[in-house]
Amino acid sequence: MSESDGPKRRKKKSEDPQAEPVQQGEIPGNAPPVEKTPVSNPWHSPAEESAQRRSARMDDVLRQRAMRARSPFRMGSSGMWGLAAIGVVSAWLISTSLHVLPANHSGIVTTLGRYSGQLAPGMNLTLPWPLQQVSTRETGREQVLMLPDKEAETLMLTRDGELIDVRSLVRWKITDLKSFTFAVPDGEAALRRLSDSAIRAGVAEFTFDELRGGRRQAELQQRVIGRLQRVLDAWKAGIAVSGVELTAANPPARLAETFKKIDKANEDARKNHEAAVAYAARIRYSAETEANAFDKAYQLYRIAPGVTRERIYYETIERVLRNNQVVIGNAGTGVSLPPPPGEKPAEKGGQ
Amino acid sequence: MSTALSQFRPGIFALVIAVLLGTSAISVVTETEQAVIERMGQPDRVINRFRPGEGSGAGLVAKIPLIETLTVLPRGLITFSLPAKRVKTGDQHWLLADTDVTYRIIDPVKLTTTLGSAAKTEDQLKALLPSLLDKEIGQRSAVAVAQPGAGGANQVMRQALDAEVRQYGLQVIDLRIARVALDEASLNSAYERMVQRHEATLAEIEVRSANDALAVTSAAEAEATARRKRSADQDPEFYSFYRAMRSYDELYGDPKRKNTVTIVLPPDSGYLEHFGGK
Repeated sequence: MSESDGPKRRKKKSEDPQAEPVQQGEIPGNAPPVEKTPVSNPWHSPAEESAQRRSARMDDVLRQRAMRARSPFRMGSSGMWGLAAIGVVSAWLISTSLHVLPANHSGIVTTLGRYSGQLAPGMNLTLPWPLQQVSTRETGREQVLMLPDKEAETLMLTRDGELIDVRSLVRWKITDLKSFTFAVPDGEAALRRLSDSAIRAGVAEFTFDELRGGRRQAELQQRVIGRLQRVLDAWKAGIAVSGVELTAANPPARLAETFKKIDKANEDARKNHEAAVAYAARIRYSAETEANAFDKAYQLYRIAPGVTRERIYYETIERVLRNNQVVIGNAGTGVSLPPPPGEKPAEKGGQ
Repeated sequence: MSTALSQFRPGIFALVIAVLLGTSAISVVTETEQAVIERMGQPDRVINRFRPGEGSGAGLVAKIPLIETLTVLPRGLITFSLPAKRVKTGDQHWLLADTDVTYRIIDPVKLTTTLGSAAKTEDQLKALLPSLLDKEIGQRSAVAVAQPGAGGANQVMRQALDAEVRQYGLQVIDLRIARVALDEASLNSAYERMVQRHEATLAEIEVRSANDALAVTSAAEAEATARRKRSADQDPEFYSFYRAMRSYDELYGDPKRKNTVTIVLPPDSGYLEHFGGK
């Protein structure tokens, strides 16, 4: 609405003083009047004028009007008037009927307040203000709403009566610019309010542990999207919500110490569990290898019991005797032994 | 030129009057507005009234200058927020509840004849809401209030409020307790409860962890034993012999632990049976 009458008014202001006939000698050409604006004000130097453009202009306009009423003869040639009029009219036409929309944007056209169509990206022509007005908005792209909008602890009540600090974001898109513009004033603010309450309501349906551990966050997000979309549809808000994410679900800052301890205990528990599992695997593995070795020996034993048994016996005893000192003698025989390598001379060994 | 202008003066004056009358005879009602036209103070017709499924009536509106007046009202949804109302829940917590009421003017004539303007509707809502909140929240626990529909509280309050404001031509589309915050005392007790519970959780985690490790290892041991038993059961006598041999080998047969013991072998031992060369 204001988009189209804004520029127009501005233009008008800059044209008015120029309409005064100071430079009589100037040729009434077709040059765009906007370019001549700086030199044509008869009451102020250009420096002063540019310094205080707005307020000076207002004063000027009033003063000029007063003067005009008193002495209409000083008005100058009708050629200048014509030029000024053409300038005003063309500025008005160009600024209010030509609309260039960037990609992903759409425009709503109202004719005397009534909706009469939409504009697509590119160049568009409409009737000039005040007959038609255009308001444009980016519609093609997904937009993201952050909750809360600035970093702050946002405590919500969980189902088990605890508090959790939740940050979230909502992805949304305008699906129907007409509804978005007319059905709900400030649709984005409405979306923010609804999202916030839907997320709070969702959080209140889960326990603190479920949310903090992230175990049921996906479920919560789905519920929130569903409910939010239902309300938006009922309101004909022209908005589609494509995603709701809890970006963080933390314990309150006041309980940080306790939760640091819990996190550490959980971490320790995880490590203990891993260690136990590794140990269990080792036990199983050694039982398996032992039993397999026995099974193999037993197969041979079944084929030839005597031979196998003797082979095992002698092979073992040979290894034992080969790797140790052996004394052949009866019990009670006094034996003197050389000391084992790297040790002090031993006392009497054996018996 | 001066004479020409002087001649036109009455004409210009007439033109100005005509323009003034003309502009007051024509108004623009936009898509987001609806308007009531009153003739000598009596409602005469409604422009662009909201009716579901009906087309727009926005645009130029003609009225009789001076005799008819136009009151413009919003046509879309209007949201009114009542922030931080202190209410006591059924479980004796004090909450600060923010309530959002979304409504629409469905009967503009009723609104202009009762309240006069759209701005006054907020005063009505502000007056009606608190007692409604006290009543409904007073029956529910703090957590139930925070939940969607709050066990139907939102719905009940919406209906009650809707019934109250219909006389002003308003329809309540949505009423929700948008957020609840615990007041200082309830907040502190909630923190305390949380600390207690989570400290208990801490102890629980440690105990559970120890039990878990034990369960894992003993399960593995049972399995290992069962596996050995399966082998041994094939021939217990041979197993016993084999196991003994493995044990001797393990302890005394390892070349890495050479000469750690001295073995006294009696000449009459089984091993030396043939030593004598009989």
